[in-house]
Amino acid sequence: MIQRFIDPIKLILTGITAILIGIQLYMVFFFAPIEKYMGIVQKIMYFHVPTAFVAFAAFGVVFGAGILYLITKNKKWDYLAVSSAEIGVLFTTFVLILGSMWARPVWNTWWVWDDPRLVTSLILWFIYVAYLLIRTSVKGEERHRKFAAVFGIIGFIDVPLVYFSVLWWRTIHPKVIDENGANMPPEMANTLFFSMFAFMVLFATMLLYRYVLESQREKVKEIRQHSMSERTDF
Amino acid sequence: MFFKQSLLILKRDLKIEFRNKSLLLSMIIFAVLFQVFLQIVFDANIEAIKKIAAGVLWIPILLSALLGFSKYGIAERENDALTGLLIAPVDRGAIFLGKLLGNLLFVFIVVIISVPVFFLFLKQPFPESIGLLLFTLFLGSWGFVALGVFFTTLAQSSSITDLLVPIMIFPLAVPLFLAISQLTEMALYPSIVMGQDLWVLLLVGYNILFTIAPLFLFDILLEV
Amino acid sequence: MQLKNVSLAIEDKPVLRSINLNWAHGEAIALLGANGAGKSSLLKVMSTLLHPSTGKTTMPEGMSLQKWKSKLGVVFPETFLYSSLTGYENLLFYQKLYGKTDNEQIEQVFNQVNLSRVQQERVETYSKGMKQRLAIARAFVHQPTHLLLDEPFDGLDLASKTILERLLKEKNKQGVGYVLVSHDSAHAWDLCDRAVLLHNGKIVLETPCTEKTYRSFMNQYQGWLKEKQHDVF
Ligand SMILES: Nc1ncnc2c1ncn2[C@@H]1O[C@H](COP(=O)(O)OP(=O)(O)O)[C@@H](O)[C@H]1O
Ligand SMILES: [Mg+2]
Repeated sequence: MIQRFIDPIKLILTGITAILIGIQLYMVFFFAPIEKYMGIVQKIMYFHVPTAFVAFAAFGVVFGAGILYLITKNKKWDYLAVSSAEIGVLFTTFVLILGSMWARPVWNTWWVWDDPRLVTSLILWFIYVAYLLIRTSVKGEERHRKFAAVFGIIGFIDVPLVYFSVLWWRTIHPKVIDENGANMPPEMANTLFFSMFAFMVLFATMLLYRYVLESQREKVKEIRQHSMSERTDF
Repeated sequence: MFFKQSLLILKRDLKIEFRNKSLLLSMIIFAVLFQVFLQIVFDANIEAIKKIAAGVLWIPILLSALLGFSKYGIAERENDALTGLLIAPVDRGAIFLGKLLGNLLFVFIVVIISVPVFFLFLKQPFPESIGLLLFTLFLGSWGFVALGVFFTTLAQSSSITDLLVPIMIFPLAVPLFLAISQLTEMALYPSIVMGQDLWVLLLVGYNILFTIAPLFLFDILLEV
Repeated sequence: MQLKNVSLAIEDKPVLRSINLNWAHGEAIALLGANGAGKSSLLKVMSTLLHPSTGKTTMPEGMSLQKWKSKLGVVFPETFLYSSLTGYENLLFYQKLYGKTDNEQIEQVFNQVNLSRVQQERVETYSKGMKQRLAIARAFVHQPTHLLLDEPFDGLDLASKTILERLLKEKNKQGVGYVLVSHDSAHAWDLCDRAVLLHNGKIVLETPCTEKTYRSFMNQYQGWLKEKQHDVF
């Protein structure tokens, strides 16, 4: 029943995403000016920042869906949580790679411990990889669902703690990086905001695909188990 | 009633552990041994130690605690005795508290032995802020043990419990680790105190979060 | 206790299907059925260890959950014993867990299961049958009024079986009700007011346990067992 509606939605959303990403690429490379000091490298920002944004939103969805799962015990929320966690880990991986690529020419090193956002992303990556590990290694479906939900909730609550502790840790010692990007020319700012929007739509599309896949997979399993228990029960 | 049950579980666990003795002894020996090992590999001497002192002090304690989590209360799994607890009219939070206190007692004993060893071997001038050091040792161990006991109990039905537990708790414990390493450094080396209150606040908040939350969550999570 | 339309799925696999069962105070029920029929799972639902996926369990006379648990004594296939504690320490612990301290009661249950001699020895030195008897003693140590017994005769020798039978009859006279799971229906027949046959997670037959009903019950039981065989082959 729901599936029938989802198919056209999927198609439309995919189309919109493709168009938005196309526009985004055009804006990044032809509309936004080249930055004075950093040069062409600065264009990484239009991918780096929205990617981080999506990753964070994805983990927010894991958090919300985890709470709803614990309250309602409806497995749909759990499907949403896993789907979102996988996408979140994928995007966090990109955040880390793009962050390194950015750091290399700008700060002359692949990694900086002084940027709390980058460090937090790394810790986040570990937290949600653990989340995915729980799902594959804890026995008992209902158990690992609940366990994962709780871990997802605690993990997300932990994020601000991680961020601020890293921030304080680094600010007590001399600080290296200045905040930049606060006063960008409007073309740059507009491109950045549009990129964020386009990436959020991309996230929604991916989440929808992944969610439908997850619920179909569960349904197949259910049907198979059901038919088995009907036939051979000894 | 709640605390009586926690104490009952605590006493039972301790009786079993002290009867077998091996766990506590292994934890102590491991902590001291690992500390010696760290001092050797870092070629630690009085000048070089400043940067790594907090780590050399804490890492043996944390790893020793980690080893304790999965072994403490293993008797509960033997004849499915945990189910016996769950069938009884016992608050599940009391089960958590009992286990937390037991693990904590063991870690404190490890601390009492391994911290003097640290001062002995590294010939530290005795720290000026001994109060801050004790405070940090107390709350730092507490936070880590609370986190560890919570997730170890949950991960019991995992095929890779021993590996999964550190993978889960280390990233979550990053704020805790930063707080205790900063505070320990401040306690060991008197300097201009910067942000001490902030770290104390973080440490206390973290401990409250990971002591109170499991008390409530255990009821939801310990259904079979 | 009352079960209304209780169904249970474990890992999406249906284990119990719309069970309706009314367990009157002091009633002795024999729960029979083939392996995998769902007997143990049903006991777990009644002990509140498992929650029904759909349907409802009601405690007697508006008892609270904790109250119900404190009135319940359980013998499951696992003994719940701590092997490095002595028999006495085990019982003492479980009694305190139920908020009681009554040394006489402990003495008494040790006598009842014939383990007084070894009560100060560690459980790891017990034989399988002794452990099973201690598990039974553990279930009685807080004087429950409702018992859930999952194949309690398993691993007991003839003498111990007789002891347990006598114990159950005596308790039943004092108003203690129980649900007894057994695969020896002839044996269970002696100990029940009512027999319930479980097949594939469904209650397919309920009769009072009298000599007259025994034969017809057994015939139907065989019938159900055969039907299962047809299914498989
Ligand atoms: N933890 C579990 N995981 C998967 N299946 C289970 C589990 N527990 C019970 N089952 C299934 O439930 C059914 C009933 O089991 P059970 O209640 O133990 O039967 P009985 O006690 O009558 O032999 C069996 O088919 C069994 O495979
Ligand atoms: Mg069984």
